[in-house]
Amino acid sequence: MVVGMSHAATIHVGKTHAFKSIHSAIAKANAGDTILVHSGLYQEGNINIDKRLTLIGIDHPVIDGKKEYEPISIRVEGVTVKGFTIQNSGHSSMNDIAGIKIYNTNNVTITDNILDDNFFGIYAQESRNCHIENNRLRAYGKAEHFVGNGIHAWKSDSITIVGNEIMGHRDGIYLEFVTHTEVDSNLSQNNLRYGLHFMFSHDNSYLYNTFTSNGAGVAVMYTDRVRMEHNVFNENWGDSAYGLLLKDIRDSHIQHNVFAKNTTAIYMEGSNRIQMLDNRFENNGWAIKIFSSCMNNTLSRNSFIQNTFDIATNGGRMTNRFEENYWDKYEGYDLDKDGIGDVPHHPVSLFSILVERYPSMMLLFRSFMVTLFDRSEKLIPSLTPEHLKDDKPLMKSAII
Amino acid sequence: MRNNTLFFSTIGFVVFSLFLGLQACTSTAGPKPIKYGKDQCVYCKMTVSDPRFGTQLQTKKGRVYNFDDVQCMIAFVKESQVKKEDVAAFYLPDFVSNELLPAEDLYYLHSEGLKSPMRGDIAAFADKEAMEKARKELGGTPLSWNDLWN
Repeated sequence: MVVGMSHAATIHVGKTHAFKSIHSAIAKANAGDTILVHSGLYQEGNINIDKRLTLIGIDHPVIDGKKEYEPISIRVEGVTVKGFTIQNSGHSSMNDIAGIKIYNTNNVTITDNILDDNFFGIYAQESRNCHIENNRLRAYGKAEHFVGNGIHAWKSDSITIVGNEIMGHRDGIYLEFVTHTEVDSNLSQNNLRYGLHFMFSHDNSYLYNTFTSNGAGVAVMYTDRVRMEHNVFNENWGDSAYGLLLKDIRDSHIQHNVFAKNTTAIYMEGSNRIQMLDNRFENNGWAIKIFSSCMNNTLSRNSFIQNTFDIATNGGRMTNRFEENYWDKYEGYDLDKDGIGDVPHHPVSLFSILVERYPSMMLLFRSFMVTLFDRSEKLIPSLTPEHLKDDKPLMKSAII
Repeated sequence: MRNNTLFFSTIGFVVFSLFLGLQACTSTAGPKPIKYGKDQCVYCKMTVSDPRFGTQLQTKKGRVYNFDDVQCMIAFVKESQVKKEDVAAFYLPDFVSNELLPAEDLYYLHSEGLKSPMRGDIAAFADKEAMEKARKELGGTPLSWNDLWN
């Protein structure tokens, strides 16, 4: 009996094998077994994995939910699903049906799968220590139809989401009430709402990801202690599109990121004690919109290059520190040649203040009058916040 | 005769212009379509993307505000960003058809299973039976429009 327990069996599923269906193989298998599924089309409704099994697809066998079922549900710990194509999950306005859904369990690994045209892609609810790596997710959501998120975690902890590609979902990656999670090296592209979206999710990090051409790049909301490093946020264009939306965030790091070609690279509201360091802002409409509800933030060693506006604010007292940033609009000089400009730089132009109050003023951008206004405002500040300034502007960008 | 034609065509033009003017006025009544995936919630700044939960407020002066969750709309008014007495109408989507309807006539369900964008977790139903059906499936408590304000 001991021998029987320790020898995990390998079961083959396929047209030319003893087991023709994944269902029958799971029914026969014991915990710890490996099921190898050979290529083919498997339309078996819902496949419910209720034993600790490793399912491996050979040449991407297709599991098809026929737009009716949840293709794979996982309800026990230690399950691995690797190398499948999972397509056509059901849709519902009541339940979050997913291509692969993990229910209240731990240590599940989902790798190297292709998920095509599912409602939600990979979904973890009330789960811990799950690993989601190198999957390709694609949905075909349109704005007027309801489509789910690509990788969705809810009330979960210690999830790693690495090297996935997500397109055409509502949010590429969505975390709600999720802690100690790492989102690394993913590509989130052409999703309807956000590339990545955090809600009420503390102590997470996202590093080396690319968020491009989403409705908006990343939204981090009502969250503490997030590390956001080495990401690329680009091509988020539109009226209400941002590279990064920060709403009620505290004690977080934004470092070594690149923000290029966004209508607004960073929009921040109600966010405190954020260290924003070594980021590059290039060719954005607005680099940073920082509202007076933001306090005690530090912006240092960032580079502002070719943005229409560098900083916009709705005025009021500012307790945010701008120091040693590079501003391509700086017109000062460096007589002592220490690399730091000798006169402070005021990054908020009068015109950006006026546009914030009267958006239609944008019509006058680059007109003679506006240039005149901005020049006179630089000499005698009246409307622009006087204390919002960089006392040590860099003469050269600190970032190569 | 010639003068007459000119006279009548002028009258015609004036009447036509007036008609256009009136058209412009009348079209302010009723909900304005929300551009899902484009419009932004004025309260939480999120993009309004879920037609089951997007709501709208119109002021007596005719300004339109969209929200991604009824919870945002209520917080917006409670914080007096628009005062309640200045509001002409509140619109919520019927959970089933997603059509925007006047808030007072709807049946409400509060259930965690709804998972609305800002966790208000409140859905509106034009039809009481549809609400009861959803309640059977998801659990939760039925509410009235006034309950939402408490």
